[in-house]
Amino acid sequence: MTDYMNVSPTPLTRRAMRLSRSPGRREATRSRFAEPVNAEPEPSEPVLFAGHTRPEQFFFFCSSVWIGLPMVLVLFADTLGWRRRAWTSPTPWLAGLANLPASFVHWGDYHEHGRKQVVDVALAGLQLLTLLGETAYGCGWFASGAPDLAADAADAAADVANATADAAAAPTLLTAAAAAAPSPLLMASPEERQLLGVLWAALVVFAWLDVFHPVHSQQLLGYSTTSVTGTRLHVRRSPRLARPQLTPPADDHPKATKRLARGADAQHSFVISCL
Amino acid sequence: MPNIHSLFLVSDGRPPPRRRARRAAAAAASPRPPPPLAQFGLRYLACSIGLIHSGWPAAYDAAAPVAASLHSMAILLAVAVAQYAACAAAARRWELPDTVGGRGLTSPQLVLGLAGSVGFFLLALAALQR
Repeated sequence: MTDYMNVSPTPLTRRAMRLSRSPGRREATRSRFAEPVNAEPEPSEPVLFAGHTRPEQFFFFCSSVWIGLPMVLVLFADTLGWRRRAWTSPTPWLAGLANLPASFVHWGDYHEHGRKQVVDVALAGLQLLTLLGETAYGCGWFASGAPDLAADAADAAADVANATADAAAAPTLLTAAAAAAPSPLLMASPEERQLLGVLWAALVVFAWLDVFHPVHSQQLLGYSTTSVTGTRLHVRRSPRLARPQLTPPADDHPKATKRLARGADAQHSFVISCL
Repeated sequence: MPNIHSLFLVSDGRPPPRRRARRAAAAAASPRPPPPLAQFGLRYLACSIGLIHSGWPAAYDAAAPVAASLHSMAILLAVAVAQYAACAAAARRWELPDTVGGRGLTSPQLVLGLAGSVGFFLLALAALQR
């Protein structure tokens, strides 16, 4: 006589039992098995960055114009009612001048992993690096020893007065750069330095999210952010790692968990080596 | 006895209208794709840092550079968000697909996008002077 109680359940039955543990999973089970014939495929969550969509491309094309905003304010400070700082290095603005048309051309005719994208990303990185150098110089991050804040504030006030006079006499960028004051600290107040530090920290976080898309942004933000630099990094990966699993598989098998960990480690090491 | 499945077939091979309407309703109810947060944040912060380095509005006193910087950043954020909303509306109107690949933007779209971005640029300049 067959003992029906000792018959092992089929895989489908085991899966249904596992999915029915919690109310949310019971609902998922019901929705999954409600219409087995006419059920439409569920929209899959994009786990791998495969390029920018057309709406994103159009927005990035339009927002490229912001690269030139500080440059225009520096060049036409008097006309635009802008009080220029005492010393302004032309390097970030020259990099921005080169990056502006490159960004328009790149996003106007966007192709993944194209040459235009490489040029645009390189120029944007150059602009960020020069801007970081100017911030470090203006805030005195490279100065040896503790900065004398009172003397720096007095020097900065004198620089502002000199710059205003210079701007009235010859409002050109290179003239202002040539009339640079000897004071190394241009950000007079410590609050301003703190603000710049916070902004740079936030920029680093966004750059990190951008490069390491979509693994970390999916975990932190709940959805995947888009990436420019990550495009090349993800595509250059080996085909075995091209489809990382962000969530463990349905059956929490120890071997599957180990495979997931190995894939994440390999991805991290590859991205770091590329950087 | 006639084949009952043939009653549900249509001549053009497309699904019946009721299913099309259900799919359209599901597509309309589906959440929109999230905004490109990392790219937006990168561009906004880079422009804000550049603004701080370039100076501050003349209406502000030199003794309060942080307030002037925050004022400039708030104006820039408002204009950038408005530009993003306008771009998203234009993309929906032009029915740009949420897919990767295919042909690029057309010339009218590029011209309109360029004109609109210059308009937002001038709007930001006008707002920064106040």
